[in-house]
Amino acid sequence: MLPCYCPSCRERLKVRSLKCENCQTEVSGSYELPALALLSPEDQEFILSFVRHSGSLKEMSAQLGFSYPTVRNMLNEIIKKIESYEKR
Amino acid sequence: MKKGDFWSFAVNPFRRVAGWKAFGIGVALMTAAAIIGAQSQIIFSGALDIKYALPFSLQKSILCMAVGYLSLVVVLYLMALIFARRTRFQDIAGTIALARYPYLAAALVGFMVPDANLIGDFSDGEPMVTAVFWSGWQSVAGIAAIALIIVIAIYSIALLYNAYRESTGLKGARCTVTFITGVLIAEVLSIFALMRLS
Repeated sequence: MLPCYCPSCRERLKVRSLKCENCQTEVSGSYELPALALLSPEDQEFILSFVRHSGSLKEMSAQLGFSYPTVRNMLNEIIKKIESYEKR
Repeated sequence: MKKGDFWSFAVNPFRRVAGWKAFGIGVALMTAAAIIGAQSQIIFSGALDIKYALPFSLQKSILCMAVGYLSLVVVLYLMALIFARRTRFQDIAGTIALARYPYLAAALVGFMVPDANLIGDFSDGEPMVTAVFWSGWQSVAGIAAIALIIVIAIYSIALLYNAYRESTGLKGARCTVTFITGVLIAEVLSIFALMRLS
């Protein structure tokens, strides 16, 4: 999982540089991590699944084996997390 | 199914089953409980009540079960509309119906109760048992039945809370307070309704 918070002071990390493996070009700067990258791998997988199912929680619940309200509650939790990341 | 998964499912089956599927299963089990209860003299005369009563008709048994269930659905759905967002009616109706499945066990426990020497009162249409006189093995069986019914009642309330929490998405103090308030209102409502309908 991509580290998102400083192990020392717990502040949010920023991307300092990105490197091209093909030509060795390095792009440096100070880039904010997107809100989606701050989510846990399970939450990211949930969002990918949500998109793959065209936003149908009913289909997701059938595939994941959870009830519809449970899947909806999971989505609500992710929405709250994203909103809290965007507020900071 | 692993052991941990089994207990998790037993305490909160609503993570897996909700909506109209839960409603269908729940109604079937409630109907079975009401039918068996009419034979074993266990009546579910209220939102949370499980009582041992004097013999009563099947119609009364089903009426009591229906009124108790509907009062919970109506009140808790109203609570969800006010305090939660986007709660589906079928999830509330279904999970509450399914949460009453332990009542089937309570109805069966009724057969354990020794029915000799019961004194009762049929005033106000309620077949209340007002005194019991047991001796020897009857006391053991009677007390065991009472203890089992208490355990079943507590388990039912825990299931009901999980049903409400899962179908509304409410958490923490808000969930607890609205649940307790809703259940109390439903209990009072069901008692008044049954008094009117008896």
